[in-house]
Amino acid sequence: MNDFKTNANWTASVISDIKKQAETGGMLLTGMGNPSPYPNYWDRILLDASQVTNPSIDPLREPMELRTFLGRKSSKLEKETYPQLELSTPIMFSAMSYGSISLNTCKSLAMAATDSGIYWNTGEGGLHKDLYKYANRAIVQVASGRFGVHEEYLRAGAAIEIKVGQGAKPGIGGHLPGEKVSKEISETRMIPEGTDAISPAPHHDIYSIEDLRQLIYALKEATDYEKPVIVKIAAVHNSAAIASGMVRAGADIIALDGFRGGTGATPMIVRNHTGIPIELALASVDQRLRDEGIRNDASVVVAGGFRSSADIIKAIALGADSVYIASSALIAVGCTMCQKCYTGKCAWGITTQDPELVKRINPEIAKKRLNNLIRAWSLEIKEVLGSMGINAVESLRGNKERLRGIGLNETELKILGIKHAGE
Amino acid sequence: MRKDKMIVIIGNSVAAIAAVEAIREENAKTEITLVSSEPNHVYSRPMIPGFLYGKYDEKRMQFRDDEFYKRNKVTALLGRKAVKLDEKKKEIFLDDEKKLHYDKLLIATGGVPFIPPMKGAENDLLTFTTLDNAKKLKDEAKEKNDFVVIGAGLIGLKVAESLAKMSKGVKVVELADRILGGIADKKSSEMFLEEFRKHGVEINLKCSVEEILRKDGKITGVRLNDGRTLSCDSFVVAIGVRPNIEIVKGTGIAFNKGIIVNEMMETNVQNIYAAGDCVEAKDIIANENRNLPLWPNASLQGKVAGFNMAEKKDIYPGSYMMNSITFFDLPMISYGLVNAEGPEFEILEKIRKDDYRKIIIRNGKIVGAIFVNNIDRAGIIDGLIRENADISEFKTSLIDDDIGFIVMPAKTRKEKLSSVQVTRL
Amino acid sequence: MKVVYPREEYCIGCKLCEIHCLVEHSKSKDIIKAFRKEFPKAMNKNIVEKRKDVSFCVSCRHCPEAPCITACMTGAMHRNKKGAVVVDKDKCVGCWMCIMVCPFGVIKRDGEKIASKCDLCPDKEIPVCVKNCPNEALVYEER
Repeated sequence: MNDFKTNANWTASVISDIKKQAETGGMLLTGMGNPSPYPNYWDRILLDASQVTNPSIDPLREPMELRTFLGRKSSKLEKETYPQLELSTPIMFSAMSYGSISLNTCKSLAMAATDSGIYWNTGEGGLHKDLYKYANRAIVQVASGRFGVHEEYLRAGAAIEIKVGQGAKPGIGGHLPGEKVSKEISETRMIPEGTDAISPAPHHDIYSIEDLRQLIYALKEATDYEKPVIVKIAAVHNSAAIASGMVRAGADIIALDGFRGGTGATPMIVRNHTGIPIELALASVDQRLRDEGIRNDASVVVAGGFRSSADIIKAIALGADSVYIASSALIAVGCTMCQKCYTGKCAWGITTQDPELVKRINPEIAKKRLNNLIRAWSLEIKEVLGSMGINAVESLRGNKERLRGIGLNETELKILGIKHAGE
Repeated sequence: MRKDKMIVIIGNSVAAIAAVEAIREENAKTEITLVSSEPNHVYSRPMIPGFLYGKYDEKRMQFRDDEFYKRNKVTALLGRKAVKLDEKKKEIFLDDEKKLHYDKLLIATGGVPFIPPMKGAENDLLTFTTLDNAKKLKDEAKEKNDFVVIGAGLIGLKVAESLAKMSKGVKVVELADRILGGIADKKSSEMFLEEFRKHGVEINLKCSVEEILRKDGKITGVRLNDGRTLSCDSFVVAIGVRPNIEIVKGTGIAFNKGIIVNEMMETNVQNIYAAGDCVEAKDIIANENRNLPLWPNASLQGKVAGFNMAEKKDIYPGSYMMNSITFFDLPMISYGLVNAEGPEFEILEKIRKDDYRKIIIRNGKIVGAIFVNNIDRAGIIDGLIRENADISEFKTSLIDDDIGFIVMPAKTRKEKLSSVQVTRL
Repeated sequence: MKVVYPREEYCIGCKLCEIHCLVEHSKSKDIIKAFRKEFPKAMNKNIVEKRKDVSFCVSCRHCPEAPCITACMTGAMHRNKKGAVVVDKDKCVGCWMCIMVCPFGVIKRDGEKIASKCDLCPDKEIPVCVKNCPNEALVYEER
């Protein structure tokens, strides 16, 4: 790589990608989230703090509430209540299937979610028999391949997520190569051993909001309306309109996945060039739902490259109820962001099924590290809430007044719905 | 147990010592009297070859410390022979005509050397089973330089090795067509034969001593049954041992070659126990009672007898023939039916230069094994034999260089590796 | 009694346990000196078994009724105050009876022809193999 002469346009990666394709005639595959230097709005948003008139709170001395409920809220004084997910802190583990990651990694996430009082997500990998004991903290996913979906699975989970799209590969399906479909995976996904597991790009039964509504209510029927249904889409140009449709179709929670979200494997062309930043999608969706008076009909969960508690706090102030994290969770258990997930040879035993490599994740150790991360970020969120004089995360949600942009133009500020620093 | 109960132990080797320790583990008060015809503190018989050529002194051979008897409150009558037993009156008589009453008795009299009839044999024949024998031989070796050893079994070859290490001329006479017949197969015995020849020991197979030749009463050589004569100035009989059961002869205690015991190491006479080289106890491979004069067996038998005498019920799980032996620099561990032949046996072998392994299988179970040179993980085989484990699934791996738990099916392996103890010796 | 148990599902076969064991039982307790400068070289008392994707470390289990103690003909093999089965180097003569009867096959012959085995690291609260296993594939516990 270093052999090439420095060139701002014809970089080493550009040159070697061309050579690779000239040799193979194939698409370039990659893993994890979009690494390109697109603007990151989290880094251009600053937080407010209380001084004199609205005193700050010391979280060591006073209780701070991070508890978060996700699900449709009763907007009037209705008798009817809706099923809720209760989170000890506004963070969840994003969908990662058994298949894309190893069973030990699934276990680590499941155990940590159980310990920390949050939720983990099965992805489209089904629920392995060893993971049923963590099912009450699991969001079970129904995706375009319907792998591993059956009544017991739906009933086991705490919530059901219909995955329409993924931030790292909007409009693209999934492909787990046959060689990775081991006996255990084949049993969990309910497909023959050694066959390719192909998740189609679209849901073949969803071509409209009405079709989506049918699926949502089919799942609610199947689970006696006891579980919230989440609909997850990739953040794309018209997310706001789609989100409005999703809420109207009956989603209790909508999940938006930005273009920095990770994946186990995706064509590089899609990962690097498709979708929009979650910051902009979130702000526009939140605003749209408010404008339409349906913001309380669904919670908003955002995903796609949350790197720190600061990103999470800013997301909440921008209108999110909670965030999904995956890349940072994997980093906590060992991932070094080498982006080689698609090879199936993850040196850390995360995105691999190689029996020699999967042993490298000891769920007991990984669980502790995940719990530590959740704890550390929760402490930081409390600290920042305190500095803003707020004692409950609920009070920060959509509180865009506590955010200021820096170095942003007027359009960006308008979309984000925030003022510029100094204003 | 009442305080005044009296336990008498005849013998002072490992079975007796293990019994003392077991009794004391259970009962601190009962009286223990130990009678031994040998005057020595506890010493390790297998170490006498090393004593002979000066590797160990007497102190080193003590396998329990000086305070052993005192600490365990044992009245030790050393150098006193128990000559007669009256099992009805519960009394034993010593060679000084003193009599001892017992409530429970342990007979751990061990073995005595077997001496074949030979012309010219006088009472100056040297044997090699006790420290006294070794001392006598050591004295003899100060003057004598040319030895004939009868017997190429374990004891005979150990004497021969020690004498060779003392730079003495050694000629071994063996009736069988190879050495170490009982504990080695053909291949391994050849390896040892080579080892002995390399160290200048002459080994004469398929012959026996007919006559000891003397001149003026002094030994000058031996005449063999094939007509040859071997010159020598000293002569050691080391063919083997047989159970020492003099004391039970003429009593109601049942015996064959050795004293017959049940699984609690009790004889047919209540309150009389026996353990060690003098008994016939359960052989788990032969599935019958046999005399297996081996240190580990004697140790476990003594322990079991001790517990039962202290009224803690314990069962002897049985054992089988096994040996760990090193001649010069060549070690061997062998188990069970090393010479098994026949359609019912399956034999797996691996021969390398200086390295030999053999596993003998019957009905999916290991019934014998030999490890020469690379012996480090042999014990795993012992565990499998004692557990009567079915090894058909992984048998071929047992002769692999990396033998270990890794060759076993995952379930078996995990069970073993997660348990506190897998076998009791 | 607490002893060392392997958990093969997490063993990655790195053999750090063997290395730490060797260093702990060397004269200098310094990794470079232990491997390059000390003669006879210290021995690790544990054994990592590895085939294909399976690996685990085996070491002495300090059996409650230890066959090696029963079989020892010199009194060298004994139980220390902590309950660990250890070898008295001055008494051991290298007869290998202990090797013959150890069902775990974890007694080795050292350079001086005496039995060499796990002593549970008498100077340490937790044996070094357990302490330094990067994936907690060894546990020190009572079962």
